[in-house]
Amino acid sequence: MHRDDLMTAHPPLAAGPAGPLRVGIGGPVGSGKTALVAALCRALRDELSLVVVTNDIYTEEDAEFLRRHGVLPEERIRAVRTGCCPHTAIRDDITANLDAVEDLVARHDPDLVLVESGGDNLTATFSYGLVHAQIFVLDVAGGDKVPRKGGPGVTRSDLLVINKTDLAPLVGADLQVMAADAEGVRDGRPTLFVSLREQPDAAGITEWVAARVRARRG
Amino acid sequence: MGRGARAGPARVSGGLTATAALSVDRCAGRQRIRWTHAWPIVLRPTGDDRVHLVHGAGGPLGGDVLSLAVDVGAGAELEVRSAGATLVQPGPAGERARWDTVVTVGPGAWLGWAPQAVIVSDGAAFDTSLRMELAAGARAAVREIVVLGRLGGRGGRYRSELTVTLGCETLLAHAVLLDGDDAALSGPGGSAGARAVGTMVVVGAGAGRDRSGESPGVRWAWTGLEGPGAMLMAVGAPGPVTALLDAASADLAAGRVAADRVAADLVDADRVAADRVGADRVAADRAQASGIRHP
Amino acid sequence: MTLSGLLLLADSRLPSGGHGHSGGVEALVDRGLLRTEGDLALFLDGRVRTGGRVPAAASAAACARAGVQESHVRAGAGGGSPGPDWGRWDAAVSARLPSAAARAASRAQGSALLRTVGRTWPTPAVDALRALPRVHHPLVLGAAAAAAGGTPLQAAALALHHLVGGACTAAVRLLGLDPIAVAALAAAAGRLAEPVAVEATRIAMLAVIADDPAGLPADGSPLFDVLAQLHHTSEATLFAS
Repeated sequence: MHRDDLMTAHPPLAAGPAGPLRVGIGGPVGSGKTALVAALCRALRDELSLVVVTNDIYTEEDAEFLRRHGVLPEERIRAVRTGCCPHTAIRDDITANLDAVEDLVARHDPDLVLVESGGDNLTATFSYGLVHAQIFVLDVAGGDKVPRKGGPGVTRSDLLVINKTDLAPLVGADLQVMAADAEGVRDGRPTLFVSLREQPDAAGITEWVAARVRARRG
Repeated sequence: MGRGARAGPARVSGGLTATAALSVDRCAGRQRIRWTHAWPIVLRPTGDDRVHLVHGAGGPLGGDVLSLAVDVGAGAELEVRSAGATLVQPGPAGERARWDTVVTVGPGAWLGWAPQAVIVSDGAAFDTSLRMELAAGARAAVREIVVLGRLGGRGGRYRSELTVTLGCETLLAHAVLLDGDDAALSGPGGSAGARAVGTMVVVGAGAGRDRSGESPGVRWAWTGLEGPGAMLMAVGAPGPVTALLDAASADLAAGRVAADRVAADLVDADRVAADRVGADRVAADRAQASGIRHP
Repeated sequence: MTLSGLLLLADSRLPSGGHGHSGGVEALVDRGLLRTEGDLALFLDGRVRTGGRVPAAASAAACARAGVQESHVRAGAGGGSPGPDWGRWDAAVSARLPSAAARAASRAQGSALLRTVGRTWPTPAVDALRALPRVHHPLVLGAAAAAAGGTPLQAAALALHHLVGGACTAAVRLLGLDPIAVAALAAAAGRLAEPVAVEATRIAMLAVIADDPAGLPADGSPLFDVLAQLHHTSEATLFAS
């Protein structure tokens, strides 16, 4: 098998766990994972039944944030504590997340399950035993060299989101370079640039997710 | 109302061996308490439904083997208290003192078991067990407080086994080993330096929701058991632990009075509630009455 | 076969949910009750001698019960018969864990391990555990140990090994303790655990022979239970228990 074949050897959407589409959202701390989850919930909650498993450190303040913004009813959000090891919980030992996902699915029969990883580094990646597709979220403030560095999150995610484009001029990040580097390592998988602060509906990402929900429904 | 009998003390290997018995039954609406003393266990009825335990010899000494059997008959009610704290002291040859209690509570009966604290002096060792066998429909509240050492002491070794069965199911099997003189048992994997542990188990009357808290001197939690019961555990300094348990007992008593009043109302309501609406209200009231208020 | 299976069951890399549980360490660390390697050594000593007896004995008993089942199947006597009834033994573990949060943690890890061993060793005894909604961890561990060809004593040792390993890993992550020093503590605690495993197995075998889980040890720790409840409702904790 060529290296190129290995790179594209991610399972098609129909494979993986049974039940509704599960999308993993990973990325470094502060890159905008929670903002993306909130945006997807707001954009999709009227047409889809959604549940969220978060591996982020979840406090009463977070719950209050979600309540206040009316993102999702609290009973549709489940926090899984990962014992200081966020990547273990989404990759090596997915059992606690599987428990949470299956419980939410049994209770709410959703169309879409979002699994938000705790903030980690560029090597974090979801197991395809847990999710069908994964989105990796970077932000331009982390430096425009990040896509070139690669790492499984950047190279293998089904969708790479580069957030906070509004900050590019302030931090001296070259979006053209980032786009070209991402294209170079992602073997044809899509990369989307977004500023979730300026575009809170995350239109392109929402459509990408919705298309996969439709594809899974058949 | 009761008839007392007294058995003489028996000395075995330097300690006292004694077996006392207490029973209460309810007949034609009247309660009858019967008991058998066994020095140094003295039983003193202090009301129609209340008995005080008195330790005649100043507290178990190492080598003492004491036991007590209590039976609360169908529909009867019994409150057991103690006249003072139980002070466990070392025996002449370093033996352990032992106190075992077996309690049976019949259908529809109530037992409130709330003796004062057991204080295990430095150098003493105390093995104790309390086995509660409740018939279906029986209710009980059991409370135990252990204090390691007298003021300024570290305390000796305390080993307790509490077993609660309801019908044929074991609701709780809880053994505790404390030792003020054992670095590991009084360390973070044990009591973490706390001198007092308080426990209250409420059975057969619907558990309230789980609650917990910590304040200077005591950490505590009410937790539902897997079955019709709940347990309060408090760990800390003797004063705050005792105060917390006292408050819980008072609250439970108040809750029982309230529940009994509602239950009495329900009996009347049952007679008149021929219509459907009335029956629904009775069901709702009954659900409310079965709750227990936590402190 | 026996050794490879037991090594897999002892490996913290086997997906079984353990990485998210601290065995009570986080609640102690949060309150300043466990700070140093010395504190951790005392913690392990205390836990192994008290609360550790319950999972050790329950795991040994489950292994013995599952082993009887397996030998019946191998002998053709019980082929196709359902596995043992685990309900009473599961209830007995619950009766020994007063804290609802501690029971939930035990069941979460049991359910996670069952997910994995149901695939690796789908024996009748392991399958029979699925009849319960969420079974306690030591029962799954014991049944899996039997399926892997292990003995009740090895099952008890596995339960104590995970108690020690989980606490040590959590202490390293939460306190930044020297992992090499902590490995030495874990080895020392393992030596302390050996007689506890032997004694727990002896008691467990008597309970199995009597077919009565009431004989299992019931050692608990009020502080452990109180902290388990406090931890369950604490803000921003990193471990589930």
